[in-house]
Amino acid sequence: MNEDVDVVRLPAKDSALINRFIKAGEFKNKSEFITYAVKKAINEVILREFEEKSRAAPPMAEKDVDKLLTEIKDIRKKLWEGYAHRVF
Amino acid sequence: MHTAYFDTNVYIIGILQPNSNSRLILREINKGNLKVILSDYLIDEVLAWFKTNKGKDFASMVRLYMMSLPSSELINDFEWSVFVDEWKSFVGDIDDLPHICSYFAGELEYFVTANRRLTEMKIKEHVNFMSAKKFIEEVCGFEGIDTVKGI
Repeated sequence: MNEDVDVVRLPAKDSALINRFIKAGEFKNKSEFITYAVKKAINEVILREFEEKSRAAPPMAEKDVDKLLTEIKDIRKKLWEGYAHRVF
Repeated sequence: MHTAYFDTNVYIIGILQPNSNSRLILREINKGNLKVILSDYLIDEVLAWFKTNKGKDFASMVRLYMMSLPSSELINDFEWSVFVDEWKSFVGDIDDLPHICSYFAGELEYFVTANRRLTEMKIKEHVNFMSAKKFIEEVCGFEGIDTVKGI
């Protein structure tokens, strides 16, 4: 697996805090902590963007939910054909 | 940490609907309060829906979103397919099986969906199905939002 090695300069107090989490067994090492933190930050930024885009969306009515579920079902049927062919 | 499998409808509704329990779930996932299992089948479904209905660019953003879910683990077809023979007779629609098998492969506590048809199949005796609203109220301990089908 290709992995980028980036040197991140952290303030001493942040580094000490991370070490405390590692000692407490929350994370295996600094790399695991930083990977988690980066993912979380990316996820938060994108979620905020989705929230911004959907701010004015009207609430879904029952027929909208049923339509969505039907659309998902149609996609699911097609996907299954591909997976079934490949996996079994 | 609670563990759950969120069906395709939870991600789509959570991304599109501001006042929904599904959105509250996405926020909880982001906080790292839930361990989430994703499957290749689930991601393909979510992306296919967004590609068809919102276009390629939006779907790309959703892909990045799914790949960045904290405390998530991806189960691929080699893993979930191991459970197919055991559970196929419990599911009315064979195309739902990858989701159910991913739930078992991940040894999860909850399966959250708005798909009532799925939750009424024979498999319901073995899977802890929940609506998004029930999950928010009973698992996360928040007040849920009154929505159609608890979405």
